[in-house]
Amino acid sequence: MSLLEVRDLTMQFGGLTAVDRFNLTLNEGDIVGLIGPNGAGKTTVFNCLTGMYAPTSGEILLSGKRVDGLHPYEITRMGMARTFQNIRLFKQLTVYDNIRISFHNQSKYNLAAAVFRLPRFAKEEREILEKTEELLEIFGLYEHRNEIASSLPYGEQRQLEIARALATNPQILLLDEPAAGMNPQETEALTNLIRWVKERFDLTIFLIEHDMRLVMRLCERLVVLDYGVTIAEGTPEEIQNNPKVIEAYLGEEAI
Amino acid sequence: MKKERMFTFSGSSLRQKLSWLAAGLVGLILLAVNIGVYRGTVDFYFSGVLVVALINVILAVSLNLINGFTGQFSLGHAGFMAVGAYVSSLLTIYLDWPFPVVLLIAALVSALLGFVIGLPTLRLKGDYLAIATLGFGEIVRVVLLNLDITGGPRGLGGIFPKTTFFSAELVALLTIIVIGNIIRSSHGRAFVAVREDEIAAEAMGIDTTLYKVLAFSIGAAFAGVAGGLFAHHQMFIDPRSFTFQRSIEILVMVVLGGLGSITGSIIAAVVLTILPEALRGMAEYRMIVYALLLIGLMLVRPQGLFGTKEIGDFLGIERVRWAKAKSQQPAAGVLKSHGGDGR
Amino acid sequence: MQEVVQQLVNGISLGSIYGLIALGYTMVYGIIRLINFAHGDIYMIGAFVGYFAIRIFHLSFLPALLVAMAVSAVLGMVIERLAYRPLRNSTRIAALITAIGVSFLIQNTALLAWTPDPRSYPDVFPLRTYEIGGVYVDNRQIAILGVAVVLMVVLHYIVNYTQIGRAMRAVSQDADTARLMGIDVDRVISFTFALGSALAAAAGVLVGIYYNRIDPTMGSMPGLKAFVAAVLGGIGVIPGAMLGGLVMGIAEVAVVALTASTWKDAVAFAILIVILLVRPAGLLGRQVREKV
Repeated sequence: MSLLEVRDLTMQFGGLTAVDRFNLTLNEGDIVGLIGPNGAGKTTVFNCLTGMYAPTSGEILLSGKRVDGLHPYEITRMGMARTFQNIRLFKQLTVYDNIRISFHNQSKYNLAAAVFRLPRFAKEEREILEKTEELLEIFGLYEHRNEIASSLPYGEQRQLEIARALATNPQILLLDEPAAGMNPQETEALTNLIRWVKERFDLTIFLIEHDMRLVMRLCERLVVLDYGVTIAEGTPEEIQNNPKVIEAYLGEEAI
Repeated sequence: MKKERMFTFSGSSLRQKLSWLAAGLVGLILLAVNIGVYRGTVDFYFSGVLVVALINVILAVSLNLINGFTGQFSLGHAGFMAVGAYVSSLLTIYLDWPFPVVLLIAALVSALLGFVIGLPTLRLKGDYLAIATLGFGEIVRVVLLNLDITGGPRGLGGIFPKTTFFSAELVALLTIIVIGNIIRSSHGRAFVAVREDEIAAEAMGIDTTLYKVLAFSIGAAFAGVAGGLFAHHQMFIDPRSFTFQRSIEILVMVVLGGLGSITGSIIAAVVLTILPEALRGMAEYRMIVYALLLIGLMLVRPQGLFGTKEIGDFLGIERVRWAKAKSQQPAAGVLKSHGGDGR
Repeated sequence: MQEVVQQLVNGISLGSIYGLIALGYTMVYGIIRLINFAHGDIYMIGAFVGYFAIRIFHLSFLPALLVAMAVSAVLGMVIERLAYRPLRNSTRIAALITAIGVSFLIQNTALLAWTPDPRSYPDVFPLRTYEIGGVYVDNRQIAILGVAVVLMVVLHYIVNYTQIGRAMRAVSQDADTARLMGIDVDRVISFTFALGSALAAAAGVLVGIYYNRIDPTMGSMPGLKAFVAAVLGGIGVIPGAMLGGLVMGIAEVAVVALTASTWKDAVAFAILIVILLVRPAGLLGRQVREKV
């Protein structure tokens, strides 16, 4: 059984069809890219997958269970986490709190345990602290842990967002333009990081990206969206040579 | 295994020393007041003012959970207080149930109402929520005005004076501990996440609706208890005790202290209760002073006196025990290749 | 049937007043996204200015109305300048709290200056009642409706056919872009407050004449209800405010006719909560989706 199965996902806003019969299969350990010109409906696909939008029609199955129409928090708890195109950190909170908050669904103690400070509370809080430290170290944010998230440089804010998503313990990680606004060196480092994190946390990754170098180096498979319609799907090489893609997308970008 | 300390102390500055001094002083005053009330040397009128101050502490801290920590703008706190006041008074007048039980029931009824009101209204945001909760508070008032059992506009008299300084103090203390402990837990962080960014909070697996309703219910429960204490202190209540103005007074305390600071709410509630009494000659100017205070504060220091800081932050108590950087993870090395600058 | 028409007439009179106040709420909200809590108190000030103009300066109805409108317009601009403008870039909650503070300040200053005792409004025109097919309409109701209609037409003209009106619409769409297009945003906001406050003052004078009774706290309830009317019609939508006002007025009169009058204050808020839940954008508003 595949990890994520999307069948004929369609999203309409009023009369506009933003995504038209989108299909996707993700197997464990896949790393798949979603590309397409601006306004092609890529982020809308993400928003449907993560429950931000309820799709107009179609089915989304996560580990064989229907998740379309569920709340975003339910989908996150079922193992699909995401980052945002326009970074959505808890801006006024510390780096540390950003990550710690995201361990929320892994703490099982109830309100009473918190009020009476039961042993359960202490034990789980200690575990959260340890895991938070680990993530901070992996992402090189340990020294910045007490800084306010919005004061971090842009590149590190993007990394913090990935770290925060990992704190929810996902099986599938959706990255929405993780390299946006990064210079070539940073993009290079990010490519390595994504690859490393994927092995370390046994992740399946689905990402939207405009940076073709990152996509070509990282992804095993690509899906190309144009005006909400999937116009091609295949390995990076196949996509590079696909005339439809060249016409719709690579042609205007002149790669 | 070595026993771990709850707190660790970081370096101390002059500000910290002053804060310790201030905290010590406040502690001494509290002790003196308690001894004074216990031995009956505090004058009757002033101990009454202290009871009102403690009730206001409960109201402000509980409203802070909703408005400060969870970022939901409620203007209906007086409504929950009213429900608690009437429910508890009727129970003691007609059934003569024990006071603690009555307060607990007042809390439950208010919490239930908070839940029922909260579930639909919390879909609203910001000022829409403010206006809807204001509307709720007014509806409660109009209902109380029209029921027979509440005495309508004539009010409800003959309530037994069961609230003492010590019972009010105990409940205030419990409120602070309960809400404080909730805030410093995974659940508390969920409240704060809702305040900071609802969409991101959802994406991090937080059921934002649940936590909004929870904040409302918990806040309402304590407001209900405060209402019960208030009724059994005043011995007479009528719908005019619970107008929109009352909600505003509580809001001023929370905002003055700092939205998101329990310490701030406590201090603001006590100061704003005792100060007008000290300036009793100016009673008619009280609301004008309130208004000017509110406007001036928003213009000069919109985050309130304490912002989101707590007493511990001033005393230099660090709540998090860092295990110190352990062995370097390989990825940390990978990431070091770019320093985040150079763009 | 006559009874129904009679209540409808009464409801429309009351509703026009709510509508006039609601216009100020809706314009200010449309332009700076602020619930101007002090708006109900400006309405009260308008009523008092009209009262003094008639009683002390012996002005007749129309001059008194214009004086009240002018004084309130200036007051509205001063409040905006001193209390709201410095907060233009802070959180909306800070602005809302400030507005509540301004409302308290005006109301309590008025209580101190004019005592809480209600005053009876001077008779500017003697009450004359006409009977049309069993339905009673008096000249005061006609005055209310007449003034409301004239002001609505003037407002409609200003907003849609003048340069400042075009600027107002531009600022309400996007203040930053409007500024880039060379619009003096501060001046437009100031003008909006003046306009809204003048309309509220007119409502204040009309209420004084209609109910023959004013006091410093008279602004609280109608202010809140007018806000509900604005939300009901779709906040930021000018025709919506008038429609919302009429619906509110008629609903309230109907409730008073059917039950005890003590329930009438609850009606407005019940309507509000239902509207917010069922159609949060109001009757004439448009739904906006938050971008993720």
